[in-house]
Amino acid sequence: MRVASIDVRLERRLAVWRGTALLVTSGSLLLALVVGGIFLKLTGHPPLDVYRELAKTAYFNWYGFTDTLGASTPLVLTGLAAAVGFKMNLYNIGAEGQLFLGGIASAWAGIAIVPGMPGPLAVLTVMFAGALGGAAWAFIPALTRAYFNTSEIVTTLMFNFIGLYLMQYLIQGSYSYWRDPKIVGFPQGKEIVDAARLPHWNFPADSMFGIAFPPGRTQVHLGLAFGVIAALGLWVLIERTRFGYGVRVTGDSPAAARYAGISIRGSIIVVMLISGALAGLAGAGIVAGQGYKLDPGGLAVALGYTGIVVAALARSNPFAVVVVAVLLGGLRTGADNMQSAPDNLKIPVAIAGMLEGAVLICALGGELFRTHRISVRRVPSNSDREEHLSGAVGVGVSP
Amino acid sequence: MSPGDLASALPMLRIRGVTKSFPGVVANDSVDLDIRRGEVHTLLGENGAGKSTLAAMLAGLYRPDSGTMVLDGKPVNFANPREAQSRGIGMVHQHFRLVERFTVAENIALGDTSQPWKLDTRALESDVQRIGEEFGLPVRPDARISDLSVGERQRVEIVKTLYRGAEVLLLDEPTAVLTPQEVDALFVTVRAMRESGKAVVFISHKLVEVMAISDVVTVLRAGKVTGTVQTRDTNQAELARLMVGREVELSSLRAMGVRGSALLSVSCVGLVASKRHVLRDISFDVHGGEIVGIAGVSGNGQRELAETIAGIRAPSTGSISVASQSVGGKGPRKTRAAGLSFVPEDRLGTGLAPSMSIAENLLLTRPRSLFISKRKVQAEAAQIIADYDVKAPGPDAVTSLLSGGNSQKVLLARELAASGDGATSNHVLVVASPTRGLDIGATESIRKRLDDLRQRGGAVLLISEDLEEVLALSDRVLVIYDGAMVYECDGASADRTTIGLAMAGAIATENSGHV
Amino acid sequence: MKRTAKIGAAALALTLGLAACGSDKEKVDAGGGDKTTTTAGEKPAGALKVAFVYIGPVGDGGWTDRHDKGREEMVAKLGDKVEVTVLENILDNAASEATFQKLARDGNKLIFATSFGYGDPMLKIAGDFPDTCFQWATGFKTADNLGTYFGAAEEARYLSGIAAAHASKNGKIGYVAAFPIPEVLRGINAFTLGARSVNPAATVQVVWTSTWFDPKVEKEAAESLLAEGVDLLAQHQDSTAVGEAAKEKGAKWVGYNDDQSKVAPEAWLTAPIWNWGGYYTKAAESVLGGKCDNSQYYGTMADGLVGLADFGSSVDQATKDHIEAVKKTILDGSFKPFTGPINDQSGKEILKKDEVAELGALLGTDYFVEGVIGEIPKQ
Repeated sequence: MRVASIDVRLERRLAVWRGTALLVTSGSLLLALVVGGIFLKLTGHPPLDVYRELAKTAYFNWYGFTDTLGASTPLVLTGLAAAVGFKMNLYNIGAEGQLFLGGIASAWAGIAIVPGMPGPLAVLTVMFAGALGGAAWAFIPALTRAYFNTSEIVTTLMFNFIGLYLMQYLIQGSYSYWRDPKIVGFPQGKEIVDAARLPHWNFPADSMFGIAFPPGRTQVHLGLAFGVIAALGLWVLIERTRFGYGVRVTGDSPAAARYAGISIRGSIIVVMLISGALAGLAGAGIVAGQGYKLDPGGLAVALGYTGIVVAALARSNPFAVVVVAVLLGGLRTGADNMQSAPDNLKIPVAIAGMLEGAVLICALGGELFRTHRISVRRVPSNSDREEHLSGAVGVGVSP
Repeated sequence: MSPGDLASALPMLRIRGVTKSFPGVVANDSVDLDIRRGEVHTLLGENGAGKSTLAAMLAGLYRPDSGTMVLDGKPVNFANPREAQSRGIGMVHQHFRLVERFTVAENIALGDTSQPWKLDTRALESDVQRIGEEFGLPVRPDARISDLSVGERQRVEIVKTLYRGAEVLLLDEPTAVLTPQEVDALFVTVRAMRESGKAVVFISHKLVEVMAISDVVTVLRAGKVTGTVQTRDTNQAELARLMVGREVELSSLRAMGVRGSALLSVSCVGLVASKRHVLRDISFDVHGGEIVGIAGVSGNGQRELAETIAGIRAPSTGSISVASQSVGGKGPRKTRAAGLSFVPEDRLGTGLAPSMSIAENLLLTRPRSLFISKRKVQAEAAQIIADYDVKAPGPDAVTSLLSGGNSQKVLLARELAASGDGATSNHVLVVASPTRGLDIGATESIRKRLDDLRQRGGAVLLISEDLEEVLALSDRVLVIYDGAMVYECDGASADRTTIGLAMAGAIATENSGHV
Repeated sequence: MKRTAKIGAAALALTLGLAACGSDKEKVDAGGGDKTTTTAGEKPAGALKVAFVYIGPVGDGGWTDRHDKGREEMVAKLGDKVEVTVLENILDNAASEATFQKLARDGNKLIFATSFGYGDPMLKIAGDFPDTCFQWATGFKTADNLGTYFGAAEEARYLSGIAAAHASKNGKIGYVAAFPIPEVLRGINAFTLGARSVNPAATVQVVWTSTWFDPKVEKEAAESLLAEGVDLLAQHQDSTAVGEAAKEKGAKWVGYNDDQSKVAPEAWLTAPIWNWGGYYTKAAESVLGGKCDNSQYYGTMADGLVGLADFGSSVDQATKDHIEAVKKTILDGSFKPFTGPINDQSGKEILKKDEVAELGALLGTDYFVEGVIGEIPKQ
């Protein structure tokens, strides 16, 4: 029997094996690297060497890795902000603006209310203010969604722009409370007090494990701990509490939630507030951990939007959010560092964006393979079948 | 022999030894089937017997692993539904594939590659009209799908299939969604198609209907053909045995329970939704030890009544009490706490959260607590799977992957668990269309459970559009029409004709509010 | 470019766009690299490692391009005495701290940071790297091993204002400006003084964009000014979008940073430009000599740091002569643009007749001179 064609089709998997998720995710990442590798090869860069250098500079190097963790810290929090919404099919696109408001609120707290407080209390107050600011910015979209069913995608997006303009106005457009009047050059925010600054982790000595460390603090600050604790807390909330259960039911089927007497409005509002608070914490972390002042240029770098990508790649699993955030943070750190790599490995900054895009597409494509499988089958050619069948049926009919 | 004679003598579609397996299941195992022109051929079988898989292969949705299909003497192996369609095989799915915002004509043109770039609406509409008249399928070509009833939508699907030149029509459980009247209308159409020389493949598990409409019945069980019989040579009992593999008893379960006090009291309940009076001044009681059935044509307020009693909607007027506690409008949680369980008509999506596991779904109607314990419900789920003979891999099985019967068992088990296990119960259970779409085995098991509750002294309110079911189970029958109770009678002495008239709104009792 | 086409055929649809733009950039990198950086192997071991951190991309046709030209000039002069690293598109926020740490750890002994926002992050870590010399363009704070550099663009702004007033028919001039900060206000004032030295009735209308580099926003701002009837546009922006807007409406254009005449030859008059090469060479030489210049350098036209771009074809000889004459007095120090009498917008006297503004006062400019239409947010 000749093979006339190969029949390839996608069939829904009847059962989804748990390990498939991990397998498919790692497969997608591998595929993304291959796609990126083809691109590198075609532009004249040795892919393996570039990847090795990228990994070395972002992960397998003390400074690179701490830089990566620093870059990942806000992404962990904005990733969680998006993920908690995804759990009930709420699309809070507003982490961006909520992060700005978190920054504004924490900077205010750091200037106005914490002076005089002992360190730990000052830090907690500043972070709490940030969470409150972010939650407040999510509150109106939450209300309109809960009571008027207004798309939260549109309202939170609009609030991003309002938040951005507000923040720019506070620093560049006016002599507000946040702006430092003593600086005559480019407008700058007032610095928060020392006690409110998130401590950075520094290498304990000039040498550790026999490795000599040049001086300088690392980019890892206490904000990372807030991120990891938030991930843990979010997991417990969603998977182990009655409230989280209600959120998951609502996300799965609002009709079932209504049937069970779960308050959909309440869930929407609380989830949006949690989401906003997490994004606000991200903003507070940047203010209290990095710039020590309200700096629009430091906050408005699309961390909120990237958080959506993080949550999508992590399939909204809080722990996976942490891992993915570190992965993407490393990609960015690595890509910046690659500019100072030896000439043959020097790659355009845009490649980080490209790799990020490839990872996202491959992961979303991979999701399809988690739920579907490809069936490949050889199909006998028509003439073969004709003979075979006329024998079997025993009747030849002319058309 | 002329080709014409040959065609009428030989099967139009000849299937030999077709096998199709999915991971872990052999859905069809060496199936043989002959479909002839001018014949209604029923594929009968319980859920999961392989009827739909077989039909899907005929329609080009799946390819057989092995075996042959010969259409008009030519072997076929469809790569996709379009190819099957071009060869004259069309399928009307159980779940309609219509775009709600489009008109009937637009839906019919949709995906039809023979349509010109710009729709010739007038020609299309006149074709639709013609097909409708020929086969008794009145549809307005310019009506929007969203404005049509379920029965009308089904007509559109059939017209669509005929419009594309189907000679073999596969109807997948077409009556599952229809009212008795709509079923009658559908049968007129099926007969018209038979008269015009088309072959109709009717997929069903309802014996009464099968006997009424088919010429030939092929019974499937666990993927295998257990028999092909001429309808005139068989009876329901034989078909049931072929289908289930043992004798079944589906006669009335009505054994007199001990009528207790009124556990559910609905008094003067009215409901206004979207400025429409959906329920009007409804009053009735359900006592312990009785099943009260509410019959009616779909869309006369049944869903709203059930939801109002269950606390999901607040009545605009009137009051509801469960075991003498007033619950009307206090929400599902309070109503449940008072002792009322509710099995909604839409089991997957309302009664159960589809992508959650059986175990997690048990938590849906549990009382509030701060944390949830997965371990405890895991054990309960395993118990339910065993007690109710639920076909599921385990407590972690996702409910959307269960068959209709199995998910209904899980739902009913959860709601009955609230009634307690004791010998007596003063629990109220509201069930809506509990056996719609279920196979005989599951139907039997679920009806037994309802009867059990009655025996234990519970009160059951059965709301169903399946009149047979209402009559088979109820001690008392109420008929709802246009949001009001228009008729009441004793279950044992119910007169089908009178009930039918009441369902159609032909009887308006003088005391329509108070039955 | 052929290679790009091949990628297009092979790669995913998504990567195609990126691939094309990536390879363009690569071309730029390679172009720069050929003339400047060389691999470590070709360098003598003792070459001074110098790093440049750019806020924008090389090829922006403005600010970053001029710095990159300066880098090339330095490399051409010092040859293999230096080994250069270039980082482009580095945001000038607190996160850039990690970038400067890494550059210092990698052994760069001289780091040029070309944006204001790099200052605080550098100041935070400069103390950890006493052997590294940090140079902060447009900055205002110094440290032991951190100096600043900038220049008197106002001199060239004044001259470009003269060109503008000669070219404008109705005396209504538009000015697209980034932020209301002293540097920008000073430039607008100098430009306006230059224009009104020709046409005392000329007005300069200002629109703020709140961005240094955003072609879309800059163009929209330019178009809004044109809609109000100005027939000439000037800018304190880093892209060439204002020129494109001017070209489309047939208006004239005074650019910034670089000779951008190619964008709109008809509209082009001239522009204040930056020549960083001299300073970069000097700073590198000083580090090679074991010294870090931590002063606040403020270059002038006389130093060559600031210049005026070549005139466009529409600038007539009389205008050129006029400008040349004034330029001579600036170069020889006999004329300062900010010489009284100067009144602010409200008519309040800022400088008395013949009074010359001090540099300190100029660096804190917080007012508009008479003739400017626009608002500065007040404290």
